[in-house]
Amino acid sequence: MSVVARPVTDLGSLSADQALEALYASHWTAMVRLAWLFVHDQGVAEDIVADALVRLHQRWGHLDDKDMAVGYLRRSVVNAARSVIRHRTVEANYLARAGTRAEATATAPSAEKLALDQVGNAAILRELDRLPRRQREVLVLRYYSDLSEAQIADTLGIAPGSVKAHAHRGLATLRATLTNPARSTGEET
Amino acid sequence: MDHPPAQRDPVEEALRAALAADATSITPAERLAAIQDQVRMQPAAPRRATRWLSLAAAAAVVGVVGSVAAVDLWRDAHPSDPLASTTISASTPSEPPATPTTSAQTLSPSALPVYFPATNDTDMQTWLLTRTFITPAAGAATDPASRINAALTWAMRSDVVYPVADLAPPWHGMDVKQVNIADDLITITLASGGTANLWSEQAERSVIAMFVWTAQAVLGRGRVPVTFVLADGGRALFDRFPAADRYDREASDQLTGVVAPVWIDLPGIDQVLSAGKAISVRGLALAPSSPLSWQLRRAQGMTEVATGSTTADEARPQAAFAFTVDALPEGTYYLTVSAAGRAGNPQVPAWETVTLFRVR
Repeated sequence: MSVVARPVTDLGSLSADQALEALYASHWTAMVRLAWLFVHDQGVAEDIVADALVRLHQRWGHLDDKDMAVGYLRRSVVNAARSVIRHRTVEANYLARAGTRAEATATAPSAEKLALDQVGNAAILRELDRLPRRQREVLVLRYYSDLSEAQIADTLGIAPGSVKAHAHRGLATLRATLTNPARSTGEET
Repeated sequence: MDHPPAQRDPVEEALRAALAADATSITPAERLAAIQDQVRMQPAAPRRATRWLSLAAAAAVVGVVGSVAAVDLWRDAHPSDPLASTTISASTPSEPPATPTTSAQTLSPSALPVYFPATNDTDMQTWLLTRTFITPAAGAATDPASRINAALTWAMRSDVVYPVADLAPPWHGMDVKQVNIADDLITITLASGGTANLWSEQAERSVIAMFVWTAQAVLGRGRVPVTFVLADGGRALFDRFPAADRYDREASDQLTGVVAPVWIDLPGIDQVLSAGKAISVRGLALAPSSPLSWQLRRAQGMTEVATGSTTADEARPQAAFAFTVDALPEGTYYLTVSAAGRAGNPQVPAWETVTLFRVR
């Protein structure tokens, strides 16, 4: 199943307010779900996309190419989600240093549960979360948002060739761990 | 990206299904009205920058330029060109007046000038160059190319000069890979030419100015033009500016709309000062400058420690200002220097520059 937002046509002819409504109607759900895949907090995901829409509205008069607005919105959402994750990591590291076990580490699954879940969505998503950030982002944008390599490159600010490389490495790692759970080390990368 | 079902890889299919199931496990709430309210609540005027954004501005005080001049401008050397040296005391406009105080903090002779883009705007459209001075790490390479690389690397430290949570900085992806110096040219090799249309063209020009101003200032040989090589094989910066062109800083009579209205040179960002000694503050304000106001806050609790006002001298294009703060107890402090905007001239907006320093 793929989730593709309905296209917004002729954004260039719209006012900032009209563009906001059009982008909301066509992309709100998909963008919130995209953010959710990174941050796994619905409220945060909604805030990320709402803030991105507000910023886009503010910059509307300055956008050289308004037809690029969806790409801008997507970049903003991914960057914001990345920031949330980074902030959580800092917090988790701080708590760990303070001797307080963060929830994220306290709930690490047991080997038995890993084995039981290995063929389920939870196991796939868990292994996805263990990939390096860039690989994870590329795979989510490719297999959830169904973006082309060029669109992913634009969203992440990397070269199209890098997209291919990250996708290849990420899939190879998933293939190895999902088809042979014993190879899953549980290491954060 | 879709393939005929028969050709689909089972891992790809499993991943696609898992992501779809996870994504559709939530139903976003209806928030259009709230977003529209949020839009209406946004201030139309430039905001007083948040602490971190202002700090970014301070650290970058010299970094943003409204336009990056072509090579013909580099011949337009100006007697007030601040690029003759890597120290603030080496050129007329950058040399603050002597202060009649006992403050004793100075910059190390090896201090590096760093110029970077900063913004005070809510919509982050106007980016102006700011400046700070950093002290290289002990044992750092001292050859000019390494010093330029170190200064630019510091300028692009997102956690210091651009700790904005939700957007990639304008220089995203443009890591400095190598610097080469010839008699008449500085060549900077970047990882890539940056992301086109991520920010405004003005922001993109400011990023190029960051490279140019910093490289020229660190080298200290005047307006040696700067060119770029892109390691990813690209040929243009931001898909707009030919990398192989030669770039120069703006002429001194073209700084309006290029440099921030206020720079704080001393204390430098993250500079460590000695406890028990008065703090000498020095900087530059775009002339003609209105009276400047300043505020000192302690980082812990952001409590106000002192406030005051000062004026810059009449020198152009940038006028020096200086004042002294009484000795402070150990701690981390934020110093804000603010300038009112120039009426009727949006290129000289109200501006506040912040620097962070520590007293030990």
